[in-house]
Amino acid sequence: MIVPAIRDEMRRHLRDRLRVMPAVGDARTKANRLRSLLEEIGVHCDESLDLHDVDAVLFSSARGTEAVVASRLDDEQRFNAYARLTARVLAGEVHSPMDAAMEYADGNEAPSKHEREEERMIMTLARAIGEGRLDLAPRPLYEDVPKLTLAFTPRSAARSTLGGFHWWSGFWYRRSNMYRRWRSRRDVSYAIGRVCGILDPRPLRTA
Amino acid sequence: MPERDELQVARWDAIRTRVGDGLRGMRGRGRSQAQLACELDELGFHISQSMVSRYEQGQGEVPLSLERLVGWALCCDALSSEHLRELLELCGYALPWTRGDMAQFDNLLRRYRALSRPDQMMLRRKMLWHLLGVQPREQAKAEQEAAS
Repeated sequence: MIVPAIRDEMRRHLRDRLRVMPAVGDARTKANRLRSLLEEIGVHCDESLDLHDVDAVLFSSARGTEAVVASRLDDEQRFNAYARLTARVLAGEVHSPMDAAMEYADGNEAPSKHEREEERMIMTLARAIGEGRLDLAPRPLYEDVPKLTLAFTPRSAARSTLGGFHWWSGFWYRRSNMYRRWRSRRDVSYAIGRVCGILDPRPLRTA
Repeated sequence: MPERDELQVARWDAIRTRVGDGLRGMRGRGRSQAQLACELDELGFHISQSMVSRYEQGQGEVPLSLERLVGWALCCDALSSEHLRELLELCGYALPWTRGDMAQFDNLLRRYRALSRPDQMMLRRKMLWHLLGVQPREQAKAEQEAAS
């Protein structure tokens, strides 16, 4: 049976590691750190002279997942490429049994409207990863959150409401530039953190 | 000539005309033999235009390997074609992918047709690896070593 290469366990492992990953150092150090992280979760990384226009490509199939980054990139571009690949593994749509996603130098080069929309979401998430500020992205992308369910007690109703907010946030983060800009603001992120704390007062997972 | 080679030659003689028809069908009318030979070469297979022509006329002397057959289909965007399915069956090869999967691979190739040629070739090389589980250059090297 052919199974997809990017599985839930891989994403879980990635987001657990991202939450504690330091964001200090120059672009080369940060790029190497992200590359090591991708390799640690099983993504084979390679740099290629053959890529002329796109900055990086992520391939995924039952035979494995591999990332190819153009060797023409400078350190800063290379860091951005690895951040986007990381964001892609974390939150991108991967179709079974085989898929390939291109990281274009300009997000508007993607061939379809849907892909351009996803590209913009990936770029926003990659910026949050690059800055070491995952909290500037919706929480379901990087930690376990309550789900929207049928709720009968005050506590479960509060958690379910929070689950609804998270679902709404994830939905618009994938579809709206305005929401992504708004969600990437630190004051908004702080306010959302407060709301989460009120509706679900358990301690946040940090590792 | 060892007995099994004679058998292989006899088997190839029996099917090579039909294989040629299938190969020609995969290439279609929109792609020249020279263009296909060039793309196969870039993919890592050492196939000249005259070899493409000979195989299509059923005059190829050596049976086509699975790797070359799939590489041929990949260059012709014909992974989901009936021709490839028939050729694989005829040559006794099997791939672990369904017809729906193969159609998705063709869609993937079509989706990125606007990319520059080097980027497209890189995509095809990677796809070939994922389709077969072997690196085309390594395969070509192994074939050369086996021939010498």
